[in-house]
Amino acid sequence: MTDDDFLKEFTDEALELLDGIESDLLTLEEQGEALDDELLNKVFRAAHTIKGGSGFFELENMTLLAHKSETVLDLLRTRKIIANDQVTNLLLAAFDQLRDMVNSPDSVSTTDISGIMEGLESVSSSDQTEPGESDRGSHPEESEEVSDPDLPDRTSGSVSESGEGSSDPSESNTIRLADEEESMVNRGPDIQQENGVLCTNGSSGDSSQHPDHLSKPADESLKRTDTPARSKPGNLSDETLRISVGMLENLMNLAGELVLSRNQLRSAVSKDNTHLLNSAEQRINQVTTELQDVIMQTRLQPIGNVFNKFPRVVRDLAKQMGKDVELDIVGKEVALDKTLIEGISDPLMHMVRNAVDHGIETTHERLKAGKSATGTIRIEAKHEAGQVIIEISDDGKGLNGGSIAESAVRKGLITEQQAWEMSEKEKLYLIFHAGLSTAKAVSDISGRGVGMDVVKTNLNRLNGQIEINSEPGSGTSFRIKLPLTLAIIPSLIVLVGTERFAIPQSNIRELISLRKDQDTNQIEYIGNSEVLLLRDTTLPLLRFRDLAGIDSPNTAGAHKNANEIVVVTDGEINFAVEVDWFENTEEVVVKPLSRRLKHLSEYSGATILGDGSVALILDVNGLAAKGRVSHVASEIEQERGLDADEEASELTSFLLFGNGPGEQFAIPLDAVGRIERIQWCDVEYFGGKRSMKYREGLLELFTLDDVANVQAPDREATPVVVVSHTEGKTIGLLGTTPVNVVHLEPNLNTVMHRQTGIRGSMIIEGRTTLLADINEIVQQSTTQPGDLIPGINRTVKEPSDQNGESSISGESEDITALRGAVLLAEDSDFFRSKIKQSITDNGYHVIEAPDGEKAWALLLENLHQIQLVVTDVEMPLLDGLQLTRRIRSDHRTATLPVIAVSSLAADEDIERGIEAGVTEYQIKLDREKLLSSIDSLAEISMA
Amino acid sequence: MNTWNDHSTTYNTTLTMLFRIGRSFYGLDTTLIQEVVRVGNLTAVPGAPADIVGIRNLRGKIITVIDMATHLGVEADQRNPDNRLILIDHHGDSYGFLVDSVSEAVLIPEEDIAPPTGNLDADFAQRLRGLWRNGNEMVSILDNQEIFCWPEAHEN
Repeated sequence: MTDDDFLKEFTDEALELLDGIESDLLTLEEQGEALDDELLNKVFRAAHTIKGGSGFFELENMTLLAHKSETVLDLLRTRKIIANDQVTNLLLAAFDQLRDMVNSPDSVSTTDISGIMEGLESVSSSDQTEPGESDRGSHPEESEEVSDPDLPDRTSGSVSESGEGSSDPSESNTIRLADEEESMVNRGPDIQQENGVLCTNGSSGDSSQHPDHLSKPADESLKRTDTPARSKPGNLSDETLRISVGMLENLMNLAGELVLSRNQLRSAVSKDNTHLLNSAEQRINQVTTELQDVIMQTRLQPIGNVFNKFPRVVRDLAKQMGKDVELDIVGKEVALDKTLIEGISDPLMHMVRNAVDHGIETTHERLKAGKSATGTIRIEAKHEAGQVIIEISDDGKGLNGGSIAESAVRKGLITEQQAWEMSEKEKLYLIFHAGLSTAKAVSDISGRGVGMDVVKTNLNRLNGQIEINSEPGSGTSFRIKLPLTLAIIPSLIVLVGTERFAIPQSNIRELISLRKDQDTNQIEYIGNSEVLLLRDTTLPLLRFRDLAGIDSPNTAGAHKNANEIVVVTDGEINFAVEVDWFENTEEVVVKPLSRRLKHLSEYSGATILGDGSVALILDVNGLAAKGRVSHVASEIEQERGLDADEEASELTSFLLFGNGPGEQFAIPLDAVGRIERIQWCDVEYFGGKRSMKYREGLLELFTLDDVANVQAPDREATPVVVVSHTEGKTIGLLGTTPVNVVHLEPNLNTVMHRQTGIRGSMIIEGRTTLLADINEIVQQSTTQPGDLIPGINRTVKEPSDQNGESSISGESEDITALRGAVLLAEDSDFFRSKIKQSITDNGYHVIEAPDGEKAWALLLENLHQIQLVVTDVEMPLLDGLQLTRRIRSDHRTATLPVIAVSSLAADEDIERGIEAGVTEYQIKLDREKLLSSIDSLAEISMA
Repeated sequence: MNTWNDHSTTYNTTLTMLFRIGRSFYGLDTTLIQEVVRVGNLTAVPGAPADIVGIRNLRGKIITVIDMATHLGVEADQRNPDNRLILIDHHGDSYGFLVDSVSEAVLIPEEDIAPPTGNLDADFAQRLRGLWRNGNEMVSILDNQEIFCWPEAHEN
């Protein structure tokens, strides 16, 4: 053995010893006076071994530090001191420092250890160390080992078997194997955040262990590490892998079997004996499978390796931030691929830090919110359906979708309009946007605006998926799904044209073969997008052939009269992909694509099939993006967006739907909110009214035959509900499939078929189509005796009038809405129209004003109708706060509720608002909150 | 014509692989080249840039096959059995440059390489280290770095 080999052996052993020290020290701290001697001895032995070894190699600083730590540990052992906070902190720091030094022996002599040494010194001296105390370990100058001047040179880059060196008898039946996957990312055990980017502790010595990496151009070393979150080449401990002797013997046996099978195969080939060939094939098949299993097992590691770092991190962070946090770890034993363990470590660490930093409130805040003083972070790993699930949840303050959206708008990541249209859940997912941080102030723990996006990127690379669930006030939970391994994935091989593609089975929901002559009605169009109707769901349909631009003929020959469809999921959206033919399932070995093809997000790699040809592996996420797959509902949204663009050509989009047998109806698409496919049994009758359960409440349903002289909906067909906002409420119009969307120049005959509820007729796709008037239908069905709310004078409004909302109606018209009037003061046209629309939809009449002065004038004019004022804060002439003060100081309006909406929502802004007398202060983008406040305040003001 | 014998008289020579695309000859520094293989069985990559012909398996490695003609913006022959792939590793990826045929490897003294003439297309000229006269034929010697400049890189 060379000197380098000796040093390598020492560092390997030292790292192994240091591995569990952190958690041991933390346990010792918890135990307090009731110390576990066994555990303490273990820590002591580690320090002692490092002291001895480093003395041998003349790593003086390391020896001194190990010695000092040993002294303190001995004080613990003799119960002279107890492992309190301070002692534990010092010991943790000392062992951290030792680990750093072990990782880079070159820089030991230059490492400054004086700080820690002083700390340890003060602990040991404060306890009247007996003179003989330090006899346990030899002082550096006393170490009798022979020094070796050549040592500071680094170890050889290649790692070879170095088993015998292990000193602990209990470990003697394991050996270390060099990890040949050099390209796999190595990571160090220490993670720190630098510039907000997660990275491993790349101490200066690290890279010197990898002459290969250094000599290559910089981008080469990033081959698998495109983002900064992936770590630099790590340290020694990651290049070796412990496996049990039993497993190695198993592998040896299998290798022996393989050799036998090869001999059998050779003789079978030379004799041209089919029978022998078959049996050789069977045998090789069996051996390969077993071999693969065992080798996979060697790569599987318990996730505890990652989890074990968290107690320390959580403890330190919590202390630093003055929070009281309990960490609950479940499922340490869950095993997954080494690569995955390495890849998941940084993202998890980031999320745990986030949970402590942003998630859990301070003790004070928690008590104020009526929670227990101690926050809990729970990390759980478990197997579920061939995948590994990791959940990180906290019982902290939860995520605030509104302020995330606000921050995203301010940073220009999304437009105000987009934010307005987002659901609460969608807003939460904004945290995965690059450049967004919800923290108001940058702390050194997290929140530099880089983070969750990197987490998401890393997870995507691992084929992982992440879900967020957050309940404001009661906590946040992240759920990560990971495959067990990345190297080999079971896949379905499909044929499109002459090419074969592999689709990972973890993405596949089901396979469908539609006979073209029988099942055609299962494929429909919504706008220009094809959808597949599958049971009660509507799935976007991608024709892979068209998407990929494959023009070679369908070689599946006899099967041409069927649509072969794979239903896939990217974790959030399910969609259908049409291919030519399903071939077979195969376990494929993933090979990365070259840099030249990396940008093709629809492929995750390539694989070599049994016949030696290459198949591309489809990436379902990328495919969804390429096919611009989204929910059907959002398709309709898009259609509506298109409408506006198409106004110039005077094309209008209509939703076509069925009703009675043979009837076809149309409704302008802009009147449609959503389309729900339901069952007849979903329709309920109460007090002569039709309704169905919809979201949280009931949706009143109307049919065309309620008012018009048409047939009742065909009970044989699938019912659909066209959800629409009209007359200030949400209603459903009951029709049937087929549903379609057309764009055309309306050529409406308003004479022939004009009747109540029907505006006229058009010829669409060769069929007479009646254009339904949803306002009239609702109005007619509700204007029945006893149904009118007294005192409310309903006026019929054409939908076009409602669309003209951008004009500022300053005049005091009759209050015609159901629920009274709201004065809206807002200078931005965009926001005014948006806010007005949602308030109107909620049943209020809205009086608009572009500035405070105008608002005041309108308020005085409509003193008796206005129940509530919604005002922007920043406005010309008279701002929202001045307006509020004026309202408060006038006896006529002093009690009027005022909601201030603003994009400024810092605490001091809110305070200023309260001082001025606003009833509530809200962030502009939170529509739901605004509406619920209006409702409750208007009620109070009515009463 | 230069041969191995010239080696003794010239200090600065490059062993250059000569190949043909359409009617023209080209030369590429052999130190870049791993090997020259037949085209083999290609798998198309839908959506890939225009000069990517496909990918293939070579002894368990995935080779990205680039059509040298498209890459250089010149005309090529119909595919035929003489077609070859010139394999070049770049940043850990293996690329196979598809050419009409490969003729020989020659040692070319540096001083025999003339700068590109003025009437060449600027884009094309940029990819050349220079021109070399091989008997009656002009050989375009490709630049070692420029060979890895993809069309999109120029656009951006």
